[in-house]
Amino acid sequence: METFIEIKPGRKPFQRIYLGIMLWFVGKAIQAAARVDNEVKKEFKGMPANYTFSLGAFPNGPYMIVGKDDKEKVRYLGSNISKHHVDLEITLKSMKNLFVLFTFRESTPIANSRDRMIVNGDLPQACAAVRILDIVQVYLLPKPLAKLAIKRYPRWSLKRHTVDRLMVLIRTITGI
Amino acid sequence: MNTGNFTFLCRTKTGFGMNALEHLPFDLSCMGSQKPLVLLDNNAQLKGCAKPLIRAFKESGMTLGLCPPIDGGTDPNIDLKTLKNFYGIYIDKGFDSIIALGTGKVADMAKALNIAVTLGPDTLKATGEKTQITQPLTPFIYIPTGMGTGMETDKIARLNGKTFNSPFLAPDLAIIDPEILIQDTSDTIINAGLTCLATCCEAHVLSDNPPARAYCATGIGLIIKNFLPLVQSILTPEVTPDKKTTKRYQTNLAQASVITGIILANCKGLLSIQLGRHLAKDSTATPGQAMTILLPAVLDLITANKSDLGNLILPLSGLDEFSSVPISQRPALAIQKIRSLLNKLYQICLGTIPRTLSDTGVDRESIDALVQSLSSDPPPPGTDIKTINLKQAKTILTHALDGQPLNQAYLN
Repeated sequence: METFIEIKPGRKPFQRIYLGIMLWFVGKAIQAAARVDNEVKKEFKGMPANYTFSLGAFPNGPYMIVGKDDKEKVRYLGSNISKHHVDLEITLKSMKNLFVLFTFRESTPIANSRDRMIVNGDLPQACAAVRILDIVQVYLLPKPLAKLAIKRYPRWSLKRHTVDRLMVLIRTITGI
Repeated sequence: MNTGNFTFLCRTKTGFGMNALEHLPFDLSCMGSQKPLVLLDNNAQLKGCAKPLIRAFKESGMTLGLCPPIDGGTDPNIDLKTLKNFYGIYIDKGFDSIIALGTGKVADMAKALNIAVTLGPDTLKATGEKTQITQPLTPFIYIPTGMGTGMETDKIARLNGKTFNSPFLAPDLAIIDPEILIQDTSDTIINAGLTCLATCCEAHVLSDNPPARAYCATGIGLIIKNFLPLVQSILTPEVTPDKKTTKRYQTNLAQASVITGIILANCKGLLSIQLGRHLAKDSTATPGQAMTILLPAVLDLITANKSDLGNLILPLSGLDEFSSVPISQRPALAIQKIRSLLNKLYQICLGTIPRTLSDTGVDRESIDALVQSLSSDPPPPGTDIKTINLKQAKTILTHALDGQPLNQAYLN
């Protein structure tokens, strides 16, 4: 190359599709876990009414938006961040960072310690959102994968591991 | 002299480690930039360093400009022509930040371009003290592809024999990502490594600047752990460690060179650096080799408080050796550690690296001429360089000639 060139670096379609599916699944699972799991219920109870939070990648997503309405019902609100007012934004600095997180090569605390995340909103609510994400990942993932995704695998009751997990999975898929 | 007062300025944010490049679009966006122009050298171009950079910008929505690679030659006319060409590209295409991909000349060219595009090209024509850079320049990112000598993150830019000095010339961000690092030649690594070692050691002992000393200790620790193993792995292929370990050595040394630049920007008038640069013109040694050869004599002669010199053992050898050596023996041991490193390097390089001044082709008779040339070669205008005390310089050169300790009492 001997002359000047201007490059538009393009996109990563595979990563975008994979992350879109994963975020949809996790978003739906948060909605389901908020109805099944007491700990998740308690975390949402601590959040103000009509509170929404998002998880996504800078600058153009993909995103996952979850919110609590005035009747304390938790809902997955989709992936279009421009349609919703978001109180708390958890953003990874690039889509690759989000991809590394959702392919379980880096856990949330490791990604945070490597300065890959930025939070726009209240810190206590951000901590609560991360705790909710951790619980949901334990529900969704088999133990070896979940161990890579979170800091410490929790010691849960047998009911929580079996019945509650099954309920979360059914509710996630059916959306009930 | 310790006055109890100091200032320390580090304008450069460092991003280090795996996937550190992925943060670059975000950081640029935070600086208000959407269209960076990339300057790179021939080596970086040939070894494909632009590919990981372009990959990091995917999905960012930004546009990158990739300049033709910069030639490594020293022809000032070509440098000016290249700079004019880059200036035209930057202005015509509407770029708003500069990325220097590579070490040495690329960083200088990027700094000069930054002055031209922010303050106008006429600023580069002004000479000496007239060149005042008193306002922030456009965002400037430095991405090393190997180990630099530290001038890349320093607040100095050199172009065409002129020196520009301003805190605004230091990069806003330095990113060290193992993915983009390439294997340099052993000569480049040795020169850069020894320059960094001499800078960090002298500033650690002689600077009364606590933050700078903390940086120095980190820099020395990184060099001691990674420099000799990397040189050995290049020169003796049969003991080459795995790729991951080599990458670790390279990234750590690149970090040491970034730290060295920050130290150079905060510690004025380091004697071994000034003398070493001067000596390299009149001998077979590279500037880095000359600096490290002179370093033991400089430390021995200049250090007023010998406990500062003794404390150098801590970053050089670690806590265990520091605590096991009596306080009175620490200064001598610190100096011996530096000499031992040079001797070990001599052994690894099969005798091609000088250990003393006489190994560089300087003899006792030529020392007076060297000292005289110091007085007739004043420091370039615009730099922080202090005038060298000629008597001190002669003592240092005499003792560096055969590596003889200044204070023989140490040996008793």
